[in-house]
Amino acid sequence: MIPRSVRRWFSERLGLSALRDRARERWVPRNTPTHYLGGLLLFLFLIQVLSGILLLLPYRPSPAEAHSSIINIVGRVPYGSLVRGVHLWASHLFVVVLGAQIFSMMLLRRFTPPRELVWLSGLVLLGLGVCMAFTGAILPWNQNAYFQALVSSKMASKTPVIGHFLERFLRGGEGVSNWTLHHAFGFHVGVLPATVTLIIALQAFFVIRAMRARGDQVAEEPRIPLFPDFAVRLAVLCTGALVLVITLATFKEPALGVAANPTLPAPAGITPPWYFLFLHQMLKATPARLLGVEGSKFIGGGLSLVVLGLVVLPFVDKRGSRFSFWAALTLLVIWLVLTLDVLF
Amino acid sequence: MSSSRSFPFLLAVVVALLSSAANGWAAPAAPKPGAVQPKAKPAAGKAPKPAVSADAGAPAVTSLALIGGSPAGPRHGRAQRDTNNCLTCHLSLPDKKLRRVAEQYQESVHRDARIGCAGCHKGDPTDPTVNAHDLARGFIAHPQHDRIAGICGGCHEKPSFIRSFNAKLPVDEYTLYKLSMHGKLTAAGDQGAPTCSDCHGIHDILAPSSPRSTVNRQNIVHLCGGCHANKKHMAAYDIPTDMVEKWNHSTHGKAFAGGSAAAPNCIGCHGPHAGTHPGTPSVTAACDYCHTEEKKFLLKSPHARAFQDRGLADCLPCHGHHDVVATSWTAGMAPDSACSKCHSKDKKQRAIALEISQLFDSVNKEQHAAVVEVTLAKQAGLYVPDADYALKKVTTAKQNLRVSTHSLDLVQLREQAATVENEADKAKKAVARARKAMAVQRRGYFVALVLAALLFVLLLVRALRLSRGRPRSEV
Repeated sequence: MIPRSVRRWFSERLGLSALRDRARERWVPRNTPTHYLGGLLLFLFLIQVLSGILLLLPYRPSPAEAHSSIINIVGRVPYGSLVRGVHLWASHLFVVVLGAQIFSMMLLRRFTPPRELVWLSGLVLLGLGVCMAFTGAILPWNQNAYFQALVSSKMASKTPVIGHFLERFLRGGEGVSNWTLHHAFGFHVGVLPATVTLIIALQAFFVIRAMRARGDQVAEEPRIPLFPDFAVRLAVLCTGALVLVITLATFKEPALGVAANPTLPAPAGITPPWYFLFLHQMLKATPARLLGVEGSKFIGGGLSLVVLGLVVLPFVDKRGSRFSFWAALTLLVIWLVLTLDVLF
Repeated sequence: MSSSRSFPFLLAVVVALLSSAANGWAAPAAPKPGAVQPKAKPAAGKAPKPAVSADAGAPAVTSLALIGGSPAGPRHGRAQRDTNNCLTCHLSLPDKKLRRVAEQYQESVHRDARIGCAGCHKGDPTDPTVNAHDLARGFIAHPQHDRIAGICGGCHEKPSFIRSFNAKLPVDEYTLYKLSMHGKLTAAGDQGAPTCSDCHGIHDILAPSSPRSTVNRQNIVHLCGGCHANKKHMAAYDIPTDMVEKWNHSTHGKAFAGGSAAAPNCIGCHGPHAGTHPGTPSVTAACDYCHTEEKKFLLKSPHARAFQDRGLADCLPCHGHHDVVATSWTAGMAPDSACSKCHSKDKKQRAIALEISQLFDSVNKEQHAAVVEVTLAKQAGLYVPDADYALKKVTTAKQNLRVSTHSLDLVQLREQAATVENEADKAKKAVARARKAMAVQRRGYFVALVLAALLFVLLLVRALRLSRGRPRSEV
């Protein structure tokens, strides 16, 4: 596609052929979904950053102007609704891939030493990804956004010990106010992307070092060259994701909603984002008071225990026992059943 | 508890003694307690300095009191008035009823304005003993029902006094009250007719701006209805008791409930202090205070003469009284419509009524269609400022039509209806333009989609070729 003379011009200056030859000598384990998921994650993150920067230009982060600036983006900025749709759908896919990464690592028991750091960075990324989606959902400052912020931060307050701190932190104060929007904006465009960049880089580093540490074991596994085989397969996956995201953005544009108005009642049938639907379902089924304690605190406590269990997993289960496989499967099935129960 | 209460009390007694002694000392020709005399001012201004510094420790004592209700203004002779032993004493009384009045007073607007107990009850607030209730010093324990308005009016009709608190306070309440039916009945000795305190409260009078005030805009209907919707109370006066119920369903009541700041409650038409309008034949004199244009058109219409001949009030025949309805919705010849009340058999008038009602129907339909169109477009994220502007013009034109209906001039009405339709059409066209522009832009989305899909297919083919070229178990 590119003229040979141009290719040579660049190759001479950048040493591209040498680079390619080195890539050909590198190998990747053949049957590891986690490697592909990691690459896909990076690709989706790049989409988010690019579309996010485009959205940052016309967006105005103040309660009085936020919603009207979104209307402006959708109605007047050329291709604004496409960029917004891509940003939103890519963020959903980002959370999906993060979840898939964690579950596949657990099901395939790829958290065992020396991969603890890979596992932990995956968990941190999942948390950060959810925070990105949470803060991003606040920014349109419509009725849904306002009440999502209110309810989600209330849910967070049920975490044992640090509940109140979390609630205040998410809200940027005691109640959901103008500060919640400013706070969410600062985190969404500054703190979180920077942290995610760092953790993705660290995870890649951890993956490479863990492979190095397993040395002999890796050499025995079936493998493929990093370039071109792995690179092309990953590119297929990434472009597939891109097609999916653009299709969704074209045919299922995100709703504009009505500008936030705290004096109005919450919109009818408001539910949390899909990845938190299971919490919503559990909270609905829990009695208001249980054993003399607020019922929702049990959910908060239970969930905190699960998270704690995931953090210590590689240190407790060093050999990757069958228990971890079944635990992962159980969690996945509970999550799926509770989520699908609402959706269908 | 007792020590914390008795300490300020003791201090108050000392302060009161000190200040009254100082007053007597500094001005040998001591003014009669109960009256402020300008002569005593310079001396009084000097003397009570120690009292002021002691005040800091006993805030309950410092703030209050106006002796004898003299309308000398709050800024004159304050030093002498800064003593309200009534309050200090009553707050510490064991009798709940006697303590309650002081507690209520503490939250009242009169306390904020430093009008003390003696302002209404007279007596001597500087006297810390029971002698403060000296009848010889004019003390009134319970003002009589027919004297209350006079006591309130004593201050409230004096602009030089009342306006020194707030330059916008009214000063005609007492005059108007005396003209009102409430005032006349009270003056005639009717204990059931309301006086100032029946509406405003006694010791706990709040500014009308306070949401807790009985005369706050939001509470007025409840206040008036308390008596006027009470059949037992109204039996003696032989007047209807369904006004509140009717008003609730009226266009005024609905607008009020919807939060309109312009919608009238009871006092919107009847005035706050003149229960009936002195010197006006009908309440319709109040209508054109807000509905000026309607009245102008009505006077030009054939109705003006007809109503006059039959002794009918201007607005009431069509719109009703407390159950005021917007007749633009009931014009026409339906059995419950306003027009059919009089014109059910007149051929010519029936035709006019029908045409007016048809004009309204079509205008409403046009407006509704345009609003739906614009709302849907906005929900879809279209930018339609032109349509918004046209919709505003539709609203204005419809308002004009509603107002000029009172003229019954069909030529004018047809013109205005055409304006509404024209502007509604503009709104729809603006939406259509925006939709077309969006459709053009969306074609670009498909280009992006096709490009991405093409790349995907190319890469897939390459990947398949690569994996076919290698043995499955390559190590």
